[in-house]
Amino acid sequence: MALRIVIALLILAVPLELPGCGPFLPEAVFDAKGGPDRSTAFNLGQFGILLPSYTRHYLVIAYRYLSGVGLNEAEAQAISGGPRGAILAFTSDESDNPWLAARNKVPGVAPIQRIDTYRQVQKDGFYGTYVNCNDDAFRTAASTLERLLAKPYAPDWIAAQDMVFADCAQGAAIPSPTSDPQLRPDRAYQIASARFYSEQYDGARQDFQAIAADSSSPWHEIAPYLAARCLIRAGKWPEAEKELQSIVDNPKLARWHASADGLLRFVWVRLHPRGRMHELALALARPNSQATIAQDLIDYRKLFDQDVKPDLGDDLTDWIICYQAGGQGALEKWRANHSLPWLVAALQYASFEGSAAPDLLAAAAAVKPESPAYLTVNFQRVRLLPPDDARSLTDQLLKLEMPVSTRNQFRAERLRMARDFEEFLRYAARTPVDSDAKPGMELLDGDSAIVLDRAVPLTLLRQASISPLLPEEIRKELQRVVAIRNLVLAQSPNFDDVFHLLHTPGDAPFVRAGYGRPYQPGELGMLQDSWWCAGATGPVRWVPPDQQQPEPAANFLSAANREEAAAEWRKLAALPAAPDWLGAQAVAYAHDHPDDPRIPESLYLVVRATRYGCADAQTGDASKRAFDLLHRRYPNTEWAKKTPYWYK
Amino acid sequence: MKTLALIAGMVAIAMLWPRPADPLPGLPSVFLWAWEVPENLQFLDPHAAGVAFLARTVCLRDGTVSVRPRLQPLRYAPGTVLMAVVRVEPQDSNLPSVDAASTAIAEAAAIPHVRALQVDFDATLSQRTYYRDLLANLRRRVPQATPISMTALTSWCRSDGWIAGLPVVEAVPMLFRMGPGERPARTFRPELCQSSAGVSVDEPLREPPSAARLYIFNPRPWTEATYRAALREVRRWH
Repeated sequence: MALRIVIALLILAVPLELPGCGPFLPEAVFDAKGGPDRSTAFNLGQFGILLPSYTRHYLVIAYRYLSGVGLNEAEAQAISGGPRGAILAFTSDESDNPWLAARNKVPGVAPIQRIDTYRQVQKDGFYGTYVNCNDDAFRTAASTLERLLAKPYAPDWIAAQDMVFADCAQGAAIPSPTSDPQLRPDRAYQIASARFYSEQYDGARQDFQAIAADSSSPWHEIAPYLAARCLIRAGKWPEAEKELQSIVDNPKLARWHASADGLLRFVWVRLHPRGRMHELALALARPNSQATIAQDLIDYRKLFDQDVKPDLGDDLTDWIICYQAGGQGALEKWRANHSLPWLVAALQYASFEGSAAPDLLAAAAAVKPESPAYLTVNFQRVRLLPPDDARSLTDQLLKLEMPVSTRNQFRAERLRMARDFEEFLRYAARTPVDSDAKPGMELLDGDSAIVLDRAVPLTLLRQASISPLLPEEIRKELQRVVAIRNLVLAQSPNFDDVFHLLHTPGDAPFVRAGYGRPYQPGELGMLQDSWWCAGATGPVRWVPPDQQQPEPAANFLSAANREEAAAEWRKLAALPAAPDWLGAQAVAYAHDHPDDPRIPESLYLVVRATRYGCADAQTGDASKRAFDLLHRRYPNTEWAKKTPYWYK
Repeated sequence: MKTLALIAGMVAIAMLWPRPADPLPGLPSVFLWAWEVPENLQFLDPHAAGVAFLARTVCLRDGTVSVRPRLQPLRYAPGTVLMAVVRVEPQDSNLPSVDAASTAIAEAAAIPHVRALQVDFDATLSQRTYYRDLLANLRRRVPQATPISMTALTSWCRSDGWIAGLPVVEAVPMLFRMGPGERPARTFRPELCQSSAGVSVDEPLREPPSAARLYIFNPRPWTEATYRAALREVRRWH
């Protein structure tokens, strides 16, 4: 049972996911799926489009606003840490540990650099680590040191306290009892604490009970609370509930009521999960819940994650389940209660093909701009209205202030409805919202990149590359794509351009979405992406298979445009990997123009491209051909000396 | 008749041809990677698969080492072969002493029931000498009975020779989450890269890897169904 408690503590105390293995390539995010761009604005009811993929932390807040409860200033402050809360420190050193800072200043005491606050669970069939010593313990030790510093037994007490905190990570060192009557109460507390940190919960509980009974001990008031904590760590939930309740009911222990009440709620979640989930759902929908909302949100989400079904139904839980599942059944619910949360859910389920109910659309149109649901319901209206109405509504909405993610989503909808190439370009650029984004940065998202890459012919791509409707950085990137596409599609590629391309790693005939390569233009990279791959694999961005979007229709393109683009794409898709193609061009040119002074350098650059570029089965041959020619015909050049190897 | 004799001869040669010894003798040929999410692997058959679990992350910053232990519970059937994986994350160019980093990694080998240690460090070009020294130091520090494995970027196994001679029993090329356009190779030339490969349940391979031991990554917590499906696929390959 103790093990279960430790696991419970572990799950509660830490974020659910930490980074896995790298390399971590920057990936542009244009609409955050898990939560709003800025949680502070969201906590004030300034919503963008409320996505069903938001974590339940945000869906609870959204429900409060949609149902008219909202958050007062204190409530918003209480949950300002967001759904993950604080990230715990790994170890504790002098800079953040008040105990270490205080004890290391004591003359004659050998300094300690750090204390490991985690303890490993040692059991076959289970591996885990949990935070054994919390910040409070170190603060208490520091203040006790201040009280005892002038006493003759202070060094003895410090040595024993070091022993106590050594138990945080491992071992079971217990300080010896003292014969000094003045030190005895503090030593008793140290012994009890050492037993607690070394997982001897029954012994620690007896010690704390004895301290509680000793009215002369400075620790006797806190001792009952600590004895109850022993029960929690030992997994004795019913006993812990009883004991904590008795503390809360004892007016003499008023100082510990808040702490005991917090632990009592912790126990209830484990002892009465279904009933507690119902209580939490009701509490979370109430106004003025600043005292409890933060912990209630954590507990409610934990129970939700464990798939606990509340023993009585409640609107908040029903709404979250329905909204996250796509809104099925919400229309009937909305018709029964006409509430805003259910209107939002019902709109999500409505489809254009199924012709959304007129009463639903009318209710959505009646939502006022000051409503927190305004952008969400109008996003659904855009989806549900006939194209001309949807286009006009989107144009109106885009004039409003809104979160960046929301603007990106409206621009994506508007792009989908583009009537001509100019409209398409006007809505093609998006602003990334991830942590790699720089102020003012605009990039192509997958929907526009794939059309530019595969659906439009070179003539239109060239037009896009000089269009003032696109930001300058995107235009420059497209100009590079156009130049290289021109080159690789030409009957007789110009050697000047081939030579230039050999100098410009990263350039490719493909339009990339997002950040593209994680290097500066012209910089060699270690990911073998300095020259492109065979088979036209752009736009280059790894997307998990279940999140891949179908190719957009790009309805504005004429049949002639499409045919022209398809013919070009067939040629691009038939190209070998860039290092092979560049090698073939350079070697052929070298045979025809053996005296061109650029030849040795170009052969060196081909070998370099076979090392840093994307390779296929023929790349080794291309590398060796260039290498052999360079060393056979130009052996005394600096380029031959710089090329000791070829690559496969 | 001549053809039959020729075939028989070739079969005999193939059977008698010396194969590289298993670098992890006695350990399962499949390991599930258990990353930093709560994992319950009690359904796993200890004879069919082992667990390579992220045990700790060793962060190198400002010339010092800090350790982030695994913070998510891992449950497994008693008797399961465990491999402790240590992720090394340099956070700036000021690397601490090899000794300090090695000490922090080696502690994971002392976790009860752990049979092998795996180091996961995506060393950049400038960090390779450091990594080499780190592994040498680690090899001296960890008991000889504990084999040391390392994960490897596929480029290390394909076009780079730098991993040759590292004091590890295997380098596991990770055939997933690769660079744009990269395609997983089936075999690799360096001997260290030949015995094992890392694959992911969410990235189907065009060609099964030829390695005898597979490490399987799952971006989500493992379930019995995913485990069974992965095992079926692996058996189809071998």
